[in-house]
Amino acid sequence: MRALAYCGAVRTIRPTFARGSFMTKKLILDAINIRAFELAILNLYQKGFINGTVHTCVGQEYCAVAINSLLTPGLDYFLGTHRAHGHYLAYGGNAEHFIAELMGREGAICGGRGGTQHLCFSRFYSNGIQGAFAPIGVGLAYSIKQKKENGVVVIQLGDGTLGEGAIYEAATFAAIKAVPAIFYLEHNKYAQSTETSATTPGDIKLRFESFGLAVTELSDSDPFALTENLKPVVRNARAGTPQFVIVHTRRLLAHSKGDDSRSESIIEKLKREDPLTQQLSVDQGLQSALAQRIAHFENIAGELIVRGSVGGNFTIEDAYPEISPGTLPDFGDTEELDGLSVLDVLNKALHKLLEQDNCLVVGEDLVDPYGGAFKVTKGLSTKYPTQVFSTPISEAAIAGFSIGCSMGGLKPIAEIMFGDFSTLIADQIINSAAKFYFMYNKQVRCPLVFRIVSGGGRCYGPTHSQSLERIFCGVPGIKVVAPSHRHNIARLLTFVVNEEQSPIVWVESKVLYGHKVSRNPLVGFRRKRTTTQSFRGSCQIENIVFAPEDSDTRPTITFVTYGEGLISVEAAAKKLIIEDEIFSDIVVVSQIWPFEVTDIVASVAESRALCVVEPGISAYGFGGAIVAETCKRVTGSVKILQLGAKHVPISAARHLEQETLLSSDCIYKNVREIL
Amino acid sequence: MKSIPGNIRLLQIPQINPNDYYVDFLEWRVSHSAHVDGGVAVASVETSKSVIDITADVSGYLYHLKEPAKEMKVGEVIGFLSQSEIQSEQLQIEIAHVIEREANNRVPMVKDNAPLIGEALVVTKKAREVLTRAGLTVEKLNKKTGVIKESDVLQYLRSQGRPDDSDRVAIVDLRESINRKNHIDETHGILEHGVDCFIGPGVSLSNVRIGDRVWINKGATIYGKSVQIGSDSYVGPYVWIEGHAGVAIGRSVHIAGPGTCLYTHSGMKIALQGGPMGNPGHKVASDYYYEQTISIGNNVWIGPNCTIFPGVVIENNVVVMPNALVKSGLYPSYCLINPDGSVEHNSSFVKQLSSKS
Repeated sequence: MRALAYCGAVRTIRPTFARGSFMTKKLILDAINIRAFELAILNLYQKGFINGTVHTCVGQEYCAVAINSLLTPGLDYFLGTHRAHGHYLAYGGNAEHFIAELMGREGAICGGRGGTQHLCFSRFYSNGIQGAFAPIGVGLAYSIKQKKENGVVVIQLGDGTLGEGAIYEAATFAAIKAVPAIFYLEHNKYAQSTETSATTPGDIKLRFESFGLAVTELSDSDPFALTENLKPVVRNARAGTPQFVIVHTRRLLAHSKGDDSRSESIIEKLKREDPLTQQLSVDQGLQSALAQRIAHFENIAGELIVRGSVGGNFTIEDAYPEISPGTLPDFGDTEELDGLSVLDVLNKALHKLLEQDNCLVVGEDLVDPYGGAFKVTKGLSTKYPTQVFSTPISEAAIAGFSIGCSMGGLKPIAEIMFGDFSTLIADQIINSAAKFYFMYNKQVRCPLVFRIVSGGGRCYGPTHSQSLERIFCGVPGIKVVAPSHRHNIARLLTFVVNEEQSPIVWVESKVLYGHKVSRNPLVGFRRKRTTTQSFRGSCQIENIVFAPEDSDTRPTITFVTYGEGLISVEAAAKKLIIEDEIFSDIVVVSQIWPFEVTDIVASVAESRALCVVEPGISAYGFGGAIVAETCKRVTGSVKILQLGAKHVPISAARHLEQETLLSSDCIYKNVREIL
Repeated sequence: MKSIPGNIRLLQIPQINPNDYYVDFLEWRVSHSAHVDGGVAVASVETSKSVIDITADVSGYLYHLKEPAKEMKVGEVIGFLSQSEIQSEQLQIEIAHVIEREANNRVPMVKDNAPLIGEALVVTKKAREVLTRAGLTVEKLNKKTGVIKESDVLQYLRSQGRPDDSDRVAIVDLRESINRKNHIDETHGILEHGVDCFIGPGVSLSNVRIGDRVWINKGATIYGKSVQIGSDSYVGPYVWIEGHAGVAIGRSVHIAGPGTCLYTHSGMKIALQGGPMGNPGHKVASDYYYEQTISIGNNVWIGPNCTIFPGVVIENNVVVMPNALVKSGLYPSYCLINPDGSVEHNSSFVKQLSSKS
């Protein structure tokens, strides 16, 4: 066993801490437990019982033991990186369930869904995206502060993580909001295989001091001193001063399994510096304890293999938490809102939502007197000053912060000023919010709403006019809701904020803001159906089907659209009636992902023609998905039209923009060509 | 193209709030054609947030183009200020036309993104056609909301005991008419024709649809994009019908020859606007070149040597006296058009003509 050879070969013995005390003994034994676990894991990996990968922390055990000895599971949060095995064990996580997770066996903590990098136990989480947890941790810390709990959030970073922008955005948020968070940087001098000196210029300490964080630089060469020095750090953090800790340490083994390209001499030198290796080399008792623990963990693995079949009773369904059927909303007629603009309705709904103490509205420039770039949040900060605040221009952190708040039990509503900035929040939503419920095996929920202001029509040019909701469509775990002026927008928003259990991308269209909300259909149409249905553990909210007013009139085409697309579709449908007496069904979807095509199929079966209209570019998007799913379920031939914006960036000049975006004339012409 | 004169300032519905598409135009605060000083509030509008005054930025004479109304589109021109007084009403109308056309050429703020509001009733094009033929207005149908389709109008007509006497050309399948005797040469540019038609010698036709028993006498020329002639009609010798914008002639119409001309295009306005006229070989690139359809109802008698201008609409049972110059406009049923273009309804001459004795 090659890995075991790293335990002993050390000549210099300099025990630098007081031996014999109970705490010291516990510290050492905890560290040995972690090393034994890691060595056993590597052994199992070599034998082929573990798939994928592992990232061991041999040499960094004391970093984990020291900080976690100061945390209380269930009160304090620990957010780990990929190299968080040690922290998991030191936090109090169950080793057997962890091994089961790694081996995909019965009893696995995340049902086999997470694996080495995605662990979840009590308030311990780890995640494979570097730096992603930084803003989330700040959000969690903010929720602790809001709820006046005594907890603290430790955000583990590696020196490699320093390359990620999200942590700097998070540091800003932490400093501004004075949250009980500790950034815990384990500096092992290597980012995977690259030396940190090659990638991280300047002084790390100065970097974070300039954010206004209290920075403490420590080393784990004396684990007892490390623990003692961390005590005031944790205490200050609990009191509401965000902390940044740099712990100098070393990694004795490879980044993951066998991919160590460092020279033997470097590793020998690191081994001489490692306190645990030193202790083991002088203490026979510790050595036997280590061997015993390794045997113990291997036995657990053996038992797991003997006990159950691979996979156990794992499932891979339910990417979405269930919404209890009792909470399905009633989207009946609301006369009282008719005549108001979409903007005013949203503003009213947000006012109502903020009456709940745990509701939060965050985003850029929301605070009065400015009241948001589109004035949706006008007046909110005056009435609810503690629940509404403007953030720095840091979309990734806005997203991460909101996710953290949501995990901490708040109801955040984040405004993303332009849908084009979806790319900046995509990592947080797709890799974090969308995944947590599934990958932590239903132990975490992220119910939160991202209000994204989407679409063109205002001559804002290529980077402020796109409809990028397509980025989130197709990602399991996310729901994308794009209401139109015919939907009951106020009740929809209230429902997604209060009842939905998943992260929601709520798409607001710029051009719809000025439109008056009306539940009444376009002249010549009647509201045939409004469906609210639950499917696949998810809730399909308010699909509206408009049919020709005269029930004897057969529709000759079915329009399917969402959001601002309805404006052009209604204009085209009206023109078709006036010019050609062509009558149509219009299906207005509110939830564009995940979607259900039952209503569409029912309509297309009658009309035999389908025209899907989307505000954005029509390639690789909503239209294709609807057409494919519908055609699968309709028998016989169906005429298909799939329309959207031209496949070019959106220009700023008004005439060019209008040429790019879909117009009602274009819909009309295309429909006349096929009918 | 003639642009808005430099001494004219437009008054437009302002955009106060970036999210407003519509603004209520409350009132004119200065009366039409009155003189105003610069800085004076001439009108007030109400946005979603507040009431705003529109002020005159220069001194001048104020001319109203639009009356106060709810929900006017942002950017719409409601009036203009002129530095000099415009006394001729004709000139005021001319300027209004120029402004309107300019406004159409300008890319509007809200194109088809504007919400569809304020409409309860939609009448389809086909329904409108039947209504026009029957001489009815929409109000007759007594429907306040929803869609009025062709079938609705036809049903109404049936209920009134007036089945639609469609004067659209009776189009008979050519295969059927082969067996009938037709004096139609294969070289004639007739798209569709009915039975028992006669085309005289030297007639030049293109893109023409004719009904049953139509007689086109020798030397007549009928061309253009679309000309329809209803059944039992007669086109006299050497009649000239130019139908680039479309000519629809009803049933039982007599167009006497020679010398009667129907034109659907005109360059008259170009001449008055200072040219250039261009020639038929060159496509006239002027905004003043215009085309308008001509439509003639049933049972119309048109004398020889008449000239009928673009945009003429003659209803049923009309007499056009010989040598008449018929200018654009609507000529209602049971009237007589004199050579000078004047219209008589109840003159003794009309009574004399219409009496049986």
